[in-house]
Amino acid sequence: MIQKRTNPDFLNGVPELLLLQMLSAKPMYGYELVQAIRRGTGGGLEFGEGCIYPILHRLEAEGVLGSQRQTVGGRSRVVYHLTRKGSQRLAQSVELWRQIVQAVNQALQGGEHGQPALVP
Amino acid sequence: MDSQRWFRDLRTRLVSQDLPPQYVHRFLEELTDHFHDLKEETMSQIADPCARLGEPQQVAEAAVLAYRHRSRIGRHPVAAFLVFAISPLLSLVAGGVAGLFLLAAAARGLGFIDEDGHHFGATAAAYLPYLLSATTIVLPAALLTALYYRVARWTGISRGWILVSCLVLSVLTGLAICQVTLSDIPGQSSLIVGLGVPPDGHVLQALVPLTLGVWLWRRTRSQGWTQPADGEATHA
Repeated sequence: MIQKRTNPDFLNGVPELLLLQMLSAKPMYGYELVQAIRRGTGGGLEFGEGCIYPILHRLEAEGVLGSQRQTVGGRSRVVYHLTRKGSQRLAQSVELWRQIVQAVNQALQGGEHGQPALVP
Repeated sequence: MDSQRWFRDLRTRLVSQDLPPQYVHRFLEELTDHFHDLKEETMSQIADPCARLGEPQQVAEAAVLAYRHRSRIGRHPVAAFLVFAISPLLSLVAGGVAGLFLLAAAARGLGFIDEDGHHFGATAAAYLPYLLSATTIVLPAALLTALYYRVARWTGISRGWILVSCLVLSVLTGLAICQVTLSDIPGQSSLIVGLGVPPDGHVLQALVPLTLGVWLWRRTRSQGWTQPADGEATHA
């Protein structure tokens, strides 16, 4: 099998954020979600597509997502949708993500006091 | 990789990690749907749609971690401490009481004692102290060691918790005393249950949960133990 190069460990939590964001637009099934993420990120993220289902199942168990078996395109699919709790989780996650991005960017740009003290 | 082999490999890995059959079934069903979509999409482009799903090992690990992070024990160390270090104290007492009732029911059923609790046969009386220790201390401790192992495996927490529970059970089992003194005079027989410095030979009873626990703990190493890495507990 071809070894896929996936994104590093520091992206833990990002698939969850992206799944919630995509589902906030409309209910989707797994494959549809992967396609939406691929389009939404411009193909910038590589991940084993099979790994999104465990995340979906966990979020469903936590009440963040709901699911329903529906016939889509002539085939029976498990379609996921965001719950009210999911909308709250998404808002929190987006806010947290923005803070992280801002903090990391600030550090990468040397911070407000110039160059970082530790230079490799 | 051949798709049938890919799915067979994944199923084997999921089942070996003790995930519930209905969870495995649903997961594989959704993955099969996904695989068919991929096949349609990549019919003329990619020879192996399974490559897009990821390695079976990687997918199985993600499934196991996600499933086990549902439990509070898997997510919170304090809950794990309460379950694996504190609750064995209570569960061993409960197990001992249950063992005592079980022994009494068995003795009554086999006709060794009557409704008033009298008339032990000589043979039964000779073996009673050993039976009492076995059913109220050693057997519950062994069963609980196995139970805590199952809970640890089910929740996917650190393997060290198996040792913690088995050590707690071993110490308690080593200190546990359950002695009976029979008398022909009605009402003069006595039963002593408690903790104390064990008489000779009682240390051996501590070895039962300890040996079993260490064996199970070592077994997890050979079978593979999917457990959360630092910082994964609250993330995807």
